[in-house]
Amino acid sequence: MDFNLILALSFLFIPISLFVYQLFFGHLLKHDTWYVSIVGIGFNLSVALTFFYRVFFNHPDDVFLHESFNWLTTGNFNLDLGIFIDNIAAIMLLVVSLVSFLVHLYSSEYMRGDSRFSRYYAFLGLFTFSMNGIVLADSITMIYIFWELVGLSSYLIIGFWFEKNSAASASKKAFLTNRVGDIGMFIGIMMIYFVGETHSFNLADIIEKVKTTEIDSTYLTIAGILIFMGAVGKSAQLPLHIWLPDAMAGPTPASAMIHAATMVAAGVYLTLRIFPILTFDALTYIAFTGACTALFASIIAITQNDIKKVLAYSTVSQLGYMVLAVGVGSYMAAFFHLVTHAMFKACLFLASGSVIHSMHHSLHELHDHDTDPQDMRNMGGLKNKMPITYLGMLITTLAIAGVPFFSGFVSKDAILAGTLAHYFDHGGFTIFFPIAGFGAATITAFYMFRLIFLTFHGKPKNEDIYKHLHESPKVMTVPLIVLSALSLGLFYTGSLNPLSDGSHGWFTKAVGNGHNYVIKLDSHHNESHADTHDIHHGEAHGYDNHHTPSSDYSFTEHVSHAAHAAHYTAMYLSLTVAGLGILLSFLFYQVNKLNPDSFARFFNMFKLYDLSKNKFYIDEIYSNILYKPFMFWSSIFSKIDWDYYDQTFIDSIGKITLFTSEKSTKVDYNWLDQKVVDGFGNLANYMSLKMKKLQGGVVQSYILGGLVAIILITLIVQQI
Amino acid sequence: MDNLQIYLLLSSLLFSLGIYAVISRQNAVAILMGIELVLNSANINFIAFNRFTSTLNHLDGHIFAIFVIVLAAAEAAVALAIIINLFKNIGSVNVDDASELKG
Amino acid sequence: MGEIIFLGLVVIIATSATWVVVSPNLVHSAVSLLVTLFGVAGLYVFLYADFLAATQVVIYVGGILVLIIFGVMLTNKIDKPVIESDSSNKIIGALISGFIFSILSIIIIQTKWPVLANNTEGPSTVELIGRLILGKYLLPFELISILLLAALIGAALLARKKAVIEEVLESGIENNEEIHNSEENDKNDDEDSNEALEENEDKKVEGEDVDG
Repeated sequence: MDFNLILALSFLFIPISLFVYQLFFGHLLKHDTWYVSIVGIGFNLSVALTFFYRVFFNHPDDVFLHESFNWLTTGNFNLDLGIFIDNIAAIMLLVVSLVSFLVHLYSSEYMRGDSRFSRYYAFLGLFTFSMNGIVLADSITMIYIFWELVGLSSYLIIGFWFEKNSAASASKKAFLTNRVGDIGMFIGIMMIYFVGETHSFNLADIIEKVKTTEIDSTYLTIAGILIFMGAVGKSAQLPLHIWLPDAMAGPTPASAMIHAATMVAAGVYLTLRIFPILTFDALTYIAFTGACTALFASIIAITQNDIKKVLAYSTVSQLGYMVLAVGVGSYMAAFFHLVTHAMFKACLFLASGSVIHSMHHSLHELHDHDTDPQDMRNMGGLKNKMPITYLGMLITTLAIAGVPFFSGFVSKDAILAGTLAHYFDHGGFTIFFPIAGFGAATITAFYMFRLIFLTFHGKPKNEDIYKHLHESPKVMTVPLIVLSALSLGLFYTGSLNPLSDGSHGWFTKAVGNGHNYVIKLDSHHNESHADTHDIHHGEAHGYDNHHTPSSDYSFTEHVSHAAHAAHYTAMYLSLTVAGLGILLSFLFYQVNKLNPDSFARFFNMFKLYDLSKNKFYIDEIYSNILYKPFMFWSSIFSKIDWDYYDQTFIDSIGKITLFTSEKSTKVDYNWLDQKVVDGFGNLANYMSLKMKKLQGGVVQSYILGGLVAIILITLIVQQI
Repeated sequence: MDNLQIYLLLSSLLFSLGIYAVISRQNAVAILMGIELVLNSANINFIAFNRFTSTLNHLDGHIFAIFVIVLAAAEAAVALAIIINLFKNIGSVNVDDASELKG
Repeated sequence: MGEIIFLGLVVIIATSATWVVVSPNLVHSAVSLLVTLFGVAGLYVFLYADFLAATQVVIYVGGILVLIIFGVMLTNKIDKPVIESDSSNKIIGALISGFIFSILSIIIIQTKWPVLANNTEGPSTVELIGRLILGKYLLPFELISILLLAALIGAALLARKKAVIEEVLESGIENNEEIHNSEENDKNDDEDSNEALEENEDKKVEGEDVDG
């Protein structure tokens, strides 16, 4: 067996065996059982690092490993499962393993003393297994299988403290919303399978099929959008985003892993994998979804008071960014943002977990069980008490706001450049994309700094709680340090220029621009950009470029070139909007020059404040349009089935049977038995009683009888 | 005036009277008397037929009648012995009382 | 003349036979039977059966009828007149006997009997009967004598007084008052006295008198 294959398979086997171990034997070691998990995940991390090492030397199209085996065959239907590792998969593996490792480390302290400690680690193992499965999958059905498993793990983790009503219903909501998206995904998968001549689920085969045969573009659009529906569900895009904020009822480190870094990124990862077969219309639809989500979620996040809810909505918004990037064709930007977002969002969540953990302990010492430890209005001035947490959170907030020197700036900048380029190309209504992008950037900066100011700056709102706060133990702060270090832009761009776009860094080189075999450029584009291509050739250096201005000038190349051209415009704009957001936030919350309440009332004249606070009433709308009518009809049907059909109809059959059986018993017993059968006996009895009298014992009567008989015989004979 | 038929009629009268006695008399001895009447009627028949339908050289009827008389005697003896026994056992010769075989 | 006697005989026979079967008094019927038998004997004479008439008188009247009278006497209480109760079978009996009589008469009247024309009187039948008995009908004669013997023995056996052991056994097993009564009656009849009821067994065991 290929050694690489064994290493690759260890990504799957180690976490699942950890799951089984922790589930059945985890209770043996009590608290020390986390050492077992961390060793396993640590091994995975080291393997991921070895794979990652090779990324530096590989071309985007090179494949490390591709092995598959036939899982089941029925007639013409084949299902293969296999492992496929290329550059993107290797980077994702590292991200997943790293975040998983840090979360395992962090949770040992955060979940200390919990009664179901080993079960928590079991679920973490299950989740890691499922996520690795998605990353390593080589066929779309394998992605689907592990997709569902990831949904299951998320259900188990969110509902970890299932005694709480909010956690139990949130986990159900998460799973069901996911399933709604998966319906579309499944139909899309089947549509892709059956089109064309060869039928295969393998990603490489599908891409090959699309490359070589002509497929009706409407069909492909629909298939692409349907598969994207799965990403909508998993990555909490606009219609199906409802589960992510509620999912904050789960333990914070798990939220960090699942809902910040990895699971929600699976949707984007899927979209990247099927990028080659998406048509232009599908991409436009995807871009719309992403833009709306980004803007929408950021508006809601402004008014939230729970620290985790703010981070949840910011996750939704950032995912919108990634999806938007895919929609405008910036393959590389989307993946870049995915990686950087994983780092800084995980750090944000872990830091907030540290804050909550500290608040919790302080409230516990005060024997106060009513105050919410997650409410930012109860915090304030924490930076003196929890310096490391503060530092970690500050660095990553700068990253998410898009401040130079930090990774978030580079990735967000790439996305925004892509949207601008898209607009420049197509014009018209696509102006919406850059507007949404830049608008969401402003608002993101605003509310993230609001979080910092409310939590860590200013005077403490509650002196008693403040007194008892303390910094978290090292086990919890070390992950913060690692992740915030990874949020510095340095790591990705490879240059110390804070304003560079990373186009010469290892990341860009490793990931490449992706391929799209469906969208064909018309000749107009071909020529006009052939020129800029040449001009740019002069400016750019070291750009690994082996395409000539000829007919194989592809869509993605075109997009990347356009983005590169729009880079500077985007950069200036994004710096402006980020600065504006931070400034506003500073004015509102740090120096209190502007009163947030009066602004809230002002906006409320247009009902905007209420809309934002109440999440645009989406949950209520769904409840009234979907849940309530459904429950209404369901109760009607249940009433028909239970009251009418079961009770009346079926029970009445039973009652009729009972009734007939009673009657038949009566007939059988009273009539048949008593009268007919006994009647024979009674008749015989009666006859014998009468006949008995014949035997009088007196001989004379016998003689008499004989004589009578003789006479009768005589008479009869005489007649004859 | 004496032709065969008058004798036969007489004997049939005796016969039916005898039957009547057997059927309806309650005393056992009376029944016995009835039986004697029946036997006598048979005898009259034999003799009458002998007289009117065969020559006087053939007296088979008479022989028969003699035998009948002998039999009647034997039977009367035995019957009376039985009646005596019956009287010893149940104290009366009323045939209605002799109904131990009553069903 | 002869016909008047004949008719008279017929009437006598008929009436006396009727009285035999109808009379409630047993002795009356026995006597009527006597008269009937005598009448039948007379009838035999008319039928030229002289021997048989004599035989009839001697055996039937002198033997059988005496026996019957013995039976009457032996089986009734002598201090009471022998009256028997009404039988329930009278009507049916009358009907049946009437029916039989009518049928027979119809047959008799309607049949053409093969009557021989001239049958005059012949010699006495005694010799002829004697010849026939020891000639043609020898076997029946012998058989009948054996039959008589058997009847004799049987009658004697039936009518004898039981042995002492048999009586003890019987009275011990059965608690029939009638038996007691009958034995009482027997004793009364034999000893011709009225005795109170006492333990028969003791008497029997002690007692002795064997009435042959």
